[in-house]
Amino acid sequence: MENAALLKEKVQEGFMVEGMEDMNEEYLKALKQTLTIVGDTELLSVPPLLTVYDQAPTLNNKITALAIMQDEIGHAHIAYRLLKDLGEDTEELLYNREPNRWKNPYAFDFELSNWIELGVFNALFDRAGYTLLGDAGEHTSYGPWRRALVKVDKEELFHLRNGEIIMKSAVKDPELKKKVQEAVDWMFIMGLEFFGVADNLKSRSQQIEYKLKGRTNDELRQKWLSTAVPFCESIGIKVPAHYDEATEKFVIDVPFPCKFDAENKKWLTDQPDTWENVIKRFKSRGPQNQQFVERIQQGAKELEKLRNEAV
Amino acid sequence: MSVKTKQRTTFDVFTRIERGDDLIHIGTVEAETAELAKVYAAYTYDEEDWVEMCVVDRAQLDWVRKPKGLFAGKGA
Ligand SMILES: [Fe+2]
Ligand SMILES: [Fe+2]
Repeated sequence: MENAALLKEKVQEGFMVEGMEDMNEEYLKALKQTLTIVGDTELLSVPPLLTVYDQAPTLNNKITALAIMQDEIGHAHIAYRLLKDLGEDTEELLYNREPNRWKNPYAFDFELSNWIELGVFNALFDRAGYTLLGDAGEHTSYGPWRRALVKVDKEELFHLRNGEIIMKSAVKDPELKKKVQEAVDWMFIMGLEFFGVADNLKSRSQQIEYKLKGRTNDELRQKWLSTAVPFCESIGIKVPAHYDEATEKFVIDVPFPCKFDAENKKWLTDQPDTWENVIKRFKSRGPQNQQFVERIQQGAKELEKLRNEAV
Repeated sequence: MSVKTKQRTTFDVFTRIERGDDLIHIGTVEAETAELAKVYAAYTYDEEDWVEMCVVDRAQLDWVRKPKGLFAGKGA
């Protein structure tokens, strides 16, 4: 493991990895895993948005939603292009992979119920993406990825601002405000889960040792909370977290993690859960997993069929 | 099932934000032809109102020097 120790030391000192000859096998594997999660997350953010985009209240809202989806596909493209340069068969990954093998967050396996949820999706989930990828953009040791994230960072900020605009304007109407609250009630804790297992349950992280990312799961969760909570409070929306002056940290006011009723999109905050069970829930996938992945693969498969018929 | 596609080539994408700026490598696209590569690049990398954008077939880049790999020769 001489190579591993050398590479870890180097990247901690600021060495930028530019190509495969700078990597050991472990680094390459961790990098590919990370980029697969990122690419899948970007791409599978589109189908949930598509479920309500035709409910956009104005043409401008619709154009913005379309622009966001186009951005996400671009972000996915970047991640998969990087994977291909690392020797992955992305064609296979995209069009022949079973739905349950995709690595997008559990939160993206759900249909949205209304336009307001699209706003909350942008404000909370894109904020999670902005937090995670912002950290990678700042710290990652993989040069090609760090450079590619300049574009992503700019666009994610636009997405989360769009969500804030939708939420801000909705809360002016009491009926719509109720919908914002309902959306936040299930999506806020989903947002917390994006950052993964609590630090004290994780023995070591190759992602951090190889500096694919800079901050730990809990640090990133705190970072997300530090802007998500004040924003929601500023528009009179209640969230199950608050800032604790004494520890100078955000504290989650409900058992976290806790059980989730997927059918009704409701957190069972009287039923605390373990991260082990949460991972199991992630792996057993949410209700739209298959449909959403098929939606992504459908065009390529239809084109292939047409090509075969034409021959 | 395999989605068969015509042989695609990797193109590197370079842009300049404004006159006087450096030409920067902003990413890559894959395309069957240079014409398609231009279209893909324009749609994918639309984060700035570039004054200049070009695509170069990666195989056409002749390298004078490349970073010496940390494990060069040793293999990963
Ligand atoms: Fe994105
Ligand atoms: Fe986004």
